[in-house]
Amino acid sequence: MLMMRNFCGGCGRKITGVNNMLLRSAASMPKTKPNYDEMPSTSDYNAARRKAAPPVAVGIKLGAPAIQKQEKPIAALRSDEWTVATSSASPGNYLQLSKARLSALVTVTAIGGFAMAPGLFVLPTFASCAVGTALMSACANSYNQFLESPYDSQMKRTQARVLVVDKISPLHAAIFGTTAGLAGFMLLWVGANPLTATLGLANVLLYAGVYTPMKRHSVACTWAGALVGAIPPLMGYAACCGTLDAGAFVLAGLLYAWQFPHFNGLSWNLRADYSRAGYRVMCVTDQELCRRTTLRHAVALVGLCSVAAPLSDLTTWTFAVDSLPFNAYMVYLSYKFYKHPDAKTSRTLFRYSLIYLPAIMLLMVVSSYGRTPPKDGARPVKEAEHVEHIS
Amino acid sequence: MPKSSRLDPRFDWVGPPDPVGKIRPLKLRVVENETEYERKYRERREAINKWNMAFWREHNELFDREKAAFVERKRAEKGDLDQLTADEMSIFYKDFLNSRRTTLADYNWEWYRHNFSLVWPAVRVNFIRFRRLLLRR
Repeated sequence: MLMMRNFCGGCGRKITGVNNMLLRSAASMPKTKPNYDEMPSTSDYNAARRKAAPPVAVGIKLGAPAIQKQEKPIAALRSDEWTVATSSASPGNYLQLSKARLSALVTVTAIGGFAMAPGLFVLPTFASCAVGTALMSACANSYNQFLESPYDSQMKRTQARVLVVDKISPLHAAIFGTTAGLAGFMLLWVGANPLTATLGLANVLLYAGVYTPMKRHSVACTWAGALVGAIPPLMGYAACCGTLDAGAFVLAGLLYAWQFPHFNGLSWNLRADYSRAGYRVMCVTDQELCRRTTLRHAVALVGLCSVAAPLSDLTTWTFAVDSLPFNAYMVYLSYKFYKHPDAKTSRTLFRYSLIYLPAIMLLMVVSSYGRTPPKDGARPVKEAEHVEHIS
Repeated sequence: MPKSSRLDPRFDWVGPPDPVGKIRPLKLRVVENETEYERKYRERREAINKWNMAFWREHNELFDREKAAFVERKRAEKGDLDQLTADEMSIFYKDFLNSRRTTLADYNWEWYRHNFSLVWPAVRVNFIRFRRLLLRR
């Protein structure tokens, strides 16, 4: 409804000299807040509003008395004001810096690797593996955000990140990343074994040092990113067993192949943003390749789950059968995406990939009971150590 | 920010994102006995931020211009006023990304150089500030 207003809804001043009724009523329309669809959730927003905001100065000179604190939303959610940048060491900032949800997912895959390994379950080792992986993931993600802040500010999906809105200084982010990385590395070295720690370090270097810069220069970044996703299960496996055998690499291969339907499904709808922000990804530069790799790797998942996993003694043969429905649906959705790539097929594929991974990992763990036990000559290191302690 | 006010120079300020360039402007705090090193660091950090803002403003303006031109061309060819499909726009996205490849690559390395070059000076500035805090106490 057009409402007649004599005062501007935006700045509050009286609208004078504007006889045009339409203009006067249009000026009373509420301003639309830009880019809210990808902002943090309402619960974050409400939590931010409840916090006391940093002081906002209005015409105060140096040496003036203390400024009153005002209740205002924090910088991330205000797109029309200057706010004080305090590099506060709050848990919220650190969780965002470490991309907590992604780190949690990475830790879950590492735990999956630990569960699948044919070694004893030793609680301290398991805890070290989980916490150490989480810390190293936090390190990698902090470095990534440190390097990517101007690019993150260009994309809707990432424009509310801590370094973009300056809730934390770049130095602070670098120090946090380094501290988390060192702590994770030492924890993995001492609590698990050096192999796990080295894999973790390699993963951090791969993610922050190879994948992150490569995104600007070549579509091969997707393959590097898939490798980054495949290493955490190897870490979990190595933490439990002490060595990496064929089963470990099948598990890693599963996560490697999964990345392609997952990432291609996600990125297809973000082509405009990726193009403008300068990301060299398949969906923008070579759509044929994007479609082909999605289907190829979905088919590879079938081979990995139904043939390689039982053969390498990662799971029993029941997994070959009960993973088929999930894999068949993945291939079906990938084929639909291959034939008719559009917003709908890509989104369906991406969403399915999110539930596919936990489902398959659960199936794997369940199907791992009843595997042929390792032969005496090839005893996992952890078991041998345990036996020595007892005697 | 109302034109009549001034930002209190005792604090670090970050502004709203540039509507075209999307980068937020930065205004760092000035202490009374600011040393030469601190001043140099502050000015360089603000300068790098301005450089970033300028680059992305120019880049995004180019994107919008070329996108508008592409849409006009396509509409003239097709002869209808409907929105272009995602598949048709994807041709533009690919061409734009490829045309800006070397510029963006150069910007990327330069950004990394600038970013890393600020880390050690930031550490030293923090030590200076810490020492000042201790001496004041």
